[in-house]
Amino acid sequence: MPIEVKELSYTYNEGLSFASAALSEVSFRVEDGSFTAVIGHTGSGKSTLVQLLIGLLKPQRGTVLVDGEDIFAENGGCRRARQKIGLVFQYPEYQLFEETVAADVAFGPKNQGLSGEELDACVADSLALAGLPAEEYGERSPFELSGGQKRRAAIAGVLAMRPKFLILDEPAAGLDPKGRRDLLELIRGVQKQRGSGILLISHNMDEVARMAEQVLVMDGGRLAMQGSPAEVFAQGEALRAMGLGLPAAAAFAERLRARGFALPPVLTTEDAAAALLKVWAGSRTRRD
Amino acid sequence: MLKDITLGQYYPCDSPLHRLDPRVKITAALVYIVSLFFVRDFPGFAYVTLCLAVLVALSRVPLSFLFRGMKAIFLIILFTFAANLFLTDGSVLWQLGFLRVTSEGLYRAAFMALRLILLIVGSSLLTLTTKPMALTDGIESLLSPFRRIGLPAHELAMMMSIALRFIPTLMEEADKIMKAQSARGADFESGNVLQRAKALIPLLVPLFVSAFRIAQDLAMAMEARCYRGGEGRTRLHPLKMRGRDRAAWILILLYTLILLVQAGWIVF
Repeated sequence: MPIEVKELSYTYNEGLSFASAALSEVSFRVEDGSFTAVIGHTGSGKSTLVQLLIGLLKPQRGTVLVDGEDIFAENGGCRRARQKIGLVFQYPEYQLFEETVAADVAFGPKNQGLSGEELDACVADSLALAGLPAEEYGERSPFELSGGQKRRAAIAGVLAMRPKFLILDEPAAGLDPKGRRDLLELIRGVQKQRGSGILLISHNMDEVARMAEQVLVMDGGRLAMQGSPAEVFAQGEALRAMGLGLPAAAAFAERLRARGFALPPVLTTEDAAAALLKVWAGSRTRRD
Repeated sequence: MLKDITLGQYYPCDSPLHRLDPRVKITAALVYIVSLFFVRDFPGFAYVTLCLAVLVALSRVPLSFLFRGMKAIFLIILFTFAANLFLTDGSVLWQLGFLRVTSEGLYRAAFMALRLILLIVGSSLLTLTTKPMALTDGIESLLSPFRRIGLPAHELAMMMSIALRFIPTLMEEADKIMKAQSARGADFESGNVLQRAKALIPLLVPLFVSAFRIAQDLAMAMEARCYRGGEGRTRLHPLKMRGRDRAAWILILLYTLILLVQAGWIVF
């Protein structure tokens, strides 16, 4: 069953002189096992949105249905939602607190009532998925890991709750290119191996184009666009007006098209290379 | 939940109280706090409450915002009230087992609770209407005469301003960590005292680590901009007394005089 968001609105400090609307009338749907990306410039309401999705904030209007159940219902709706949706905050490494990595990862499943061998297996499995094998890292202090390792340990802590949906708020922020690649591989692995639905907030259009099946574009608290990467990234002008941009390959193709090359829409570097080769081969045969 | 603590927070708006010189406001707050301990009876408190009400109205800080900060210290007030209510000797009004309420106890409990509430509302009005920077400048300026006897006025003021400045930052940080741990199924709101205290560990450890990290970053940023203490430092906006500040001095004096006469400390 999917996550359904219906006309969700949220205002910070409502009723005070510095009240600010963070989200207005946002509706969308995220299917089981799908990969959705959320893009939007800073302050467009992305982080507020994900906090609403697991009931950390209460909306003024609208609601969120997880598996058809209203998460803001009185009888612990948001508690059940948090069992199904794992949220990885921005800079999640700052939430590490236990003496060992394994103990920290065990925190979530322990709260779910897991114990004994089941718990150990769950921790080992999550650490392996996060690329920090339990034999090597399990007994180390989380505070002596490197930045990228800390982040993966924190993500393992969320994975250990075996969420049906995994929401990640800019998980690669501040990582070096290798750390970034490893992290995206990790996310893809979670989707493939566990069949979890992924909701990824990202500022990197290349990643979004490469990985997402659905793209949500936020602007000023509204859902400005919604569609497949191809549909969304076909609207370069509109995206630029919102302070966003195109994937490098799409921007490159757009420029070539402006110079008269008949290139089809492309999203990734591989697409662009293939399309260019075709055009080049075409022009060569004509010349011959 | 943590956002409910408004103690030490600034409420941005433009009011006569916001525009006053910080030195006047700090002095007024000190005079006000001391004056609360000179009050002897309820008519005295009525007078103080009235003056405070006028100031609150002038400040344009919404009452709901002002009292949101009270929620956090409600327990302290309740405890003071209960302690005074049950532990004061005198003529017994009502008794149940070892619990005994005396008329003196009731009077004292109400008196103390009122004093505490007035103390908190009055002093939070200072920080609600004064930007932390202005507050520090004011404190530094007020303390500077004591520099000659070796009081590090600038350093004290800087320490205070950093402490004040970090209340909302740490609050935000705590809020963030709390949310992250809630997302992992942490429960901060149920269970007995012991369970709740234990539930705080996942919040306190990361908060402690963050506090050190933030402090280190700040120290580095200050040093990078050549901070070397108060010696020879000039200001972008030097403090200057204006007409309304002089009027405020007179009002403070008037308030004190009336209060002292009412309470019988000054007899004509």
